[in-house]
Amino acid sequence: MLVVGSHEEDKLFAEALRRAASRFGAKIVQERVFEDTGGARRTDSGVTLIQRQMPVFTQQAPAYDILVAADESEVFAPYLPYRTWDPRLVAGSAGLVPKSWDAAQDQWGAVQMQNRFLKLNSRRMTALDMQAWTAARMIGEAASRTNSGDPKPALDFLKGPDFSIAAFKGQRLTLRDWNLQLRQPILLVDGRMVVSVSPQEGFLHQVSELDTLGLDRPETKCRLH
Amino acid sequence: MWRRCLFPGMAAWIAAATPAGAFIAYVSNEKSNTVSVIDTDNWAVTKTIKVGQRPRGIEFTRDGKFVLVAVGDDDTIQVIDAATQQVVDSLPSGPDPELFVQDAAGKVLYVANENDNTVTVIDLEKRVRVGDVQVGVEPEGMAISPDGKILINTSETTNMAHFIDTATRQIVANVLVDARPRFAEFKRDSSELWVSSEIGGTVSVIDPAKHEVTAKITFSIPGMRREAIQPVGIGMTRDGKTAFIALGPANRIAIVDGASHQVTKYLLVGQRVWHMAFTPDEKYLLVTNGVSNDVSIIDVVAQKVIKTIQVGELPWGITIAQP
Repeated sequence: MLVVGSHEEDKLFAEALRRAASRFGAKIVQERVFEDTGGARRTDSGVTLIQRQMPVFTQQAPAYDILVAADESEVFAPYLPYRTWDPRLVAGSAGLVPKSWDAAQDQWGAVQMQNRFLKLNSRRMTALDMQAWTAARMIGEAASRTNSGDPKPALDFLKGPDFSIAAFKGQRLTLRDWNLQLRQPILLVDGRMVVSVSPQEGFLHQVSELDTLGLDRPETKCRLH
Repeated sequence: MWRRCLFPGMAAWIAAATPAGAFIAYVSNEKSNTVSVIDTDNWAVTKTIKVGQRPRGIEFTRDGKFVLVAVGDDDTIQVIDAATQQVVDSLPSGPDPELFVQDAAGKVLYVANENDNTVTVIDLEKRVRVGDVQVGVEPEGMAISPDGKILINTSETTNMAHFIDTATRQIVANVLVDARPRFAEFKRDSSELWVSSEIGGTVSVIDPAKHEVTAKITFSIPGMRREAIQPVGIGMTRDGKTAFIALGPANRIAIVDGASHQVTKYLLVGQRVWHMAFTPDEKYLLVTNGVSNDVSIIDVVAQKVIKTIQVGELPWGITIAQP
């Protein structure tokens, strides 16, 4: 079952979830929209009210295995786990969450990175922090590999076939030449631990298993200029 | 048989006289905070020693009397007495020591401290810290040139091999290699320095005199995705003719011709193969398999895996007493 928030970003996430469902063979048995009526009137009144809201919202659903929520604005999804009418798993914006980085990630040398970040900033590292780090690191990598401070050779190197970067994800990350998106494993986290890392074992690809995630070359409508 | 360990020199003598070999290997188990002791006579774990947290780098001292093990989460290097097989002391490393190397005389220990970008210099006799060298981010691989004049440190995030003059303790050269350099190994004749790059997926061959990468060893395994081939540990025979390279999650050891730098064979071992050690007679090579929690034994001449031994959780490093 797919539950979509009423904001534009929620709809975009829902679209990505629908595409992924059809690609990996999952069937969406029903979709519901959770309207954000503003002022968090439906969810802001403490545990007592939320406890009633979420079961009511999820009742009378057709048989389903997992509830996937698209709630980029964090309006309702965090309230879903343990409160669905049928006892079901929750994923998407709450429960099992796909992220590019999480403070719980400690594999592949990441614990050193996390410790350095915590020491420097007195807080834990978020996905946004990691994206900023990776972006800065890519520029540093281009400068050291081209032995130059000029943007032109650096950009050519980043777009070239020899570029790859280590970013504590257990394998080299590269750029998709059709849209310059970073090819990277996605962490599935539950808030305390990294539950798993996608691509999941067994999903094969002729070029890179990382291209089983997101829009692949034959599907993309992007044209780089 | 523990009595043999009281006299390591004698143990080696006995070993040299018997074809089966009777050596003692120590394996650090990163996750179970133990060191497994393996008897190479019957390929069995004879003892499990409790050590500090996150044991990784492990080496015999040159005199064979002690085993040093870096326990990163306890920010120290513990000293195991090879005779009693007990932790007897600790050495003052920097925070999160990972790999280390001794000079030829066994008097000076150089330690890569992963967390504070330094290499610590320790006087092994006095067991005191005598200096530090600032290097790149996340120092790991350590090697010393056969003449003892140059210390190599590789830094995982700066992606460089740093050449450090052991007399002045100053960096004299930096060589850029592929991503996440993990391990460095000199050919005994000093003609080449090999540095493995885990994420880059290559081994750089460096001319130590010119400080230049002269060749790159690449790997290709049919049916194996490129990203899974992650070279880490390197073992080279004394004559420099054959090298063994652990390929991490590719679960294979690559056998490389020392002269042509071409892979001649891949050996299937356990999961996430990491570091390795030869028996002193170079008949066998023992490799640690982190995810499958075992050690594979390779017959060096036959180039075959002959046995697997279960050890602790996440076996990482391995050392065997030299005669």
